[in-house]
Amino acid sequence: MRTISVISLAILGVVSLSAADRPGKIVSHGMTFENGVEVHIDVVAEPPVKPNSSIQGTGINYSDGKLHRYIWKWKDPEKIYFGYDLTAEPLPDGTIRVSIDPLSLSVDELDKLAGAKMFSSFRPVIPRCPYPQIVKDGDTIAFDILVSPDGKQKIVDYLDFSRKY
Amino acid sequence: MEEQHSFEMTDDELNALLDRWQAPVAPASLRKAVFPEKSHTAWRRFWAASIHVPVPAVAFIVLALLVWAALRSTTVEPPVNASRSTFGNLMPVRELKVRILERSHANN
Repeated sequence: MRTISVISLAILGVVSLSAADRPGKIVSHGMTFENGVEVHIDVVAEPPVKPNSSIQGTGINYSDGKLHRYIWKWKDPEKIYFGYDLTAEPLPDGTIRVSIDPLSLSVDELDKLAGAKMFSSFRPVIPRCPYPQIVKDGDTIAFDILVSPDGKQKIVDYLDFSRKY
Repeated sequence: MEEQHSFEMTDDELNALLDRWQAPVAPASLRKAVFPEKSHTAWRRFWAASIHVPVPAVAFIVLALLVWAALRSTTVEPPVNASRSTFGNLMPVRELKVRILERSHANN
């Protein structure tokens, strides 16, 4: 099983604003599927927040043709993790079929990625996922992943898709 | 019959001889060999220094380090968090509602 793991703790205070092409960008992930579809994920705070704030954890892992995207919160008010699986399939007409499904990584797999017994003490949150989407080369899929109770502050995933061949 | 010479000396003769005998001067190299010069540089004293630690104290320190390492491997310290940060009260959405931004819009 081919596995690529990227775990990053994104601390806003150390994020270089000069590297952000989207205002409020916290961190980026990127990978290329074996079928040649490239995805670049920007995790963006909307509206942009001042430094010294901190988001919890975010990471990606690739296995069995799926990109596993996961996010966790250490506290406030409880330890939780959630995420989604992403697959992208190039279609003959040049478009890309994007499927977003519930995160399939188990707690043990997440703990293994974290290198410690961490996720076993977290509560999983499984959001409802959309139907498969058809996008064109260069299009972006965006959706909120974290929202404040009053809806004024959000963390948004921007998924940029392109085809390498 | 051959004459035999006797080299035996009486006690008085030996004592007289001992009184006349003078011990040879010790060579200069002897002192260095017996009493090597000690280095007095602070650096050498530092590396040569030692302290005596009771075995129970060493055992306690080793045990404490092992316990600390075991605890550290099973727990993960959360990152330093501004507890009242802007993100503190954010919660996951219940539904991932996608928006498709076409290339021309996405670049804006």
